[in-house]
Amino acid sequence: MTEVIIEIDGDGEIRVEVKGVKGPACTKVGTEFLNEISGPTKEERHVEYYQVPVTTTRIRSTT
Amino acid sequence: MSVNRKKVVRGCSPKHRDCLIRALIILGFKPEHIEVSETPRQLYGYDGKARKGHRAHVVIRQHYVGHASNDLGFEDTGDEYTMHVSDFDARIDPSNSAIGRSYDDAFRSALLHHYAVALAEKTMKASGYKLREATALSEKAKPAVRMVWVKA
Repeated sequence: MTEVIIEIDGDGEIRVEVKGVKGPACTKVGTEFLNEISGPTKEERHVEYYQVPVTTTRIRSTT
Repeated sequence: MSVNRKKVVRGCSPKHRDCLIRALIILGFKPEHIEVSETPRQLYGYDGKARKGHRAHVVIRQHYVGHASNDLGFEDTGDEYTMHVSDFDARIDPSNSAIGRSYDDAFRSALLHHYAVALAEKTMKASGYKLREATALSEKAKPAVRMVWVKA
């Protein structure tokens, strides 16, 4: 089971947390979503990836 | 005459026009009052005169924007939408607005928020995820939501 937690606030900040898949596959799920939601501005956005723990990736983005 | 401004709705992609329209509906516009066109349409002021240099692909005509308002438009610039809004409507008294709020930066933020929520739902459903829970984060003054999606 893969669980994706998405938080969207009123300032355009999106936080994505993926649980249940390991390593690169985990990051891929979150990144694909962010690429969709942030569209062409992705090169301008601030993105942080951090592992918490092995099976969870959190991605933080400010559009 | 109130001056029209162009403001980029950063992160709002024309690729997901349906999400923009859904966000506009959530903010209070009726679906039948939202004009959608593949080619940009002329925007008009409160006086019925064309606003030079202002054309848009998604348009809400002045009567549905507010009392003595001007057309509100969203122009597809390829990568993002640019909102065309008059100074008058950016500062309009909420009691004179069709949706009970002015069309200022806070409106643009709320629009982007609802766009992002609509896009999250669309993207996750397309990827085979099901929504397990959605929680409004009420401790914040601005709209905020936490969604948990699962896939077996």
